[in-house]
Amino acid sequence: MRASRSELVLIALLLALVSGCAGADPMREVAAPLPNLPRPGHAMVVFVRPSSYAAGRSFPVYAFGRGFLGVSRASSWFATELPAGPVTFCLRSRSPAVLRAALAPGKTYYVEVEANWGFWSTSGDLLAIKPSGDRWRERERWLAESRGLTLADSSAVDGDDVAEALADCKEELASYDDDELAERTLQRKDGR
Amino acid sequence: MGALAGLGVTLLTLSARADPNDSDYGWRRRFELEQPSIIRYVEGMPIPPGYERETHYDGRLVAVGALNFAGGYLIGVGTTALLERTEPVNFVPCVGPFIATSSRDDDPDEEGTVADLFGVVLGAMACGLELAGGVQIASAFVDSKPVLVRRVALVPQLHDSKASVHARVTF
Repeated sequence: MRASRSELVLIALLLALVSGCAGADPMREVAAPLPNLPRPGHAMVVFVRPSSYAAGRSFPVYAFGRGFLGVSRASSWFATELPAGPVTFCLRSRSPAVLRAALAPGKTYYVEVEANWGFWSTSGDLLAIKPSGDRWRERERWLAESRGLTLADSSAVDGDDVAEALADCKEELASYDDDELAERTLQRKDGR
Repeated sequence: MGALAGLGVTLLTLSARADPNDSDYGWRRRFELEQPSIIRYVEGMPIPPGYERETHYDGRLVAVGALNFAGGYLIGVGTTALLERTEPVNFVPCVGPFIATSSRDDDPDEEGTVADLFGVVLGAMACGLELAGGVQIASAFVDSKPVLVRRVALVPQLHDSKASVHARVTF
């Protein structure tokens, strides 16, 4: 049995589509119920997305000056260790989100990744989890009911994508009013 | 010299086998320090004293699924009532209106009415919503979340070189 030219073209297109969709997954699941502690001089930042809403939608997270940190998925968390000091995080989605943090050494900070309903596509948001807020009380349950992920391979991340995402986030940060900024700012004392 | 080399090899082997989770910066150290009220249960992990295993489900997904299912069912029943079709089979979720339509004793050569078309379209919408709701409820139960919940309150300890104070509250 021989395939016609049009059948071969169709097969080639399907193979290209499948291989294009099956890109390397930068995240893998960790067999740990809690994030590690930060090493000396560093802080740990935990991005937790407790909701199962928009399970098919992943949000890449970047930091200015640090690049790609990981991908936030529904009902999951991932932790990233960063040197103490100021840092600005950027989440890429239809509408980008930015969160600023002042990290103290030895502390762990928590950020909620929220998926919001959108008419055309879901957008993500970054919200500070502070000891003074309601989210802080939910934090342990959110971690317990989510899967832990870790960045396994960032080689598939395109440098142009990172630059584009950070440029979008810079614009977004400039558009925040005082209340929006307060909700998206972690101070040194907000770590545990 | 040979003994020293042997000790070095042993230490190297031990450090290579050491679980990074047990290090000073591993999650186990965080667990000791924080003793969270609830943590994820990871397969093979020993259950710490004072904790009990529970299975949690995504309540929000169950609620959304139930709403979708109920909404779909109400649309289906509403359409049935609107078209004055009172056969009991119409009240069977999802497939009921279709079974009723196909089993009616109409003249097979007679063309479908606008009401029939209306019934089929709304019936399909209702069925889709009911199926989506059912899938959401099922996926919430399939994707269960095994957790360990602390049943014993924290044990505050004041350690001194000679004396220590222990307080324990159980509920």
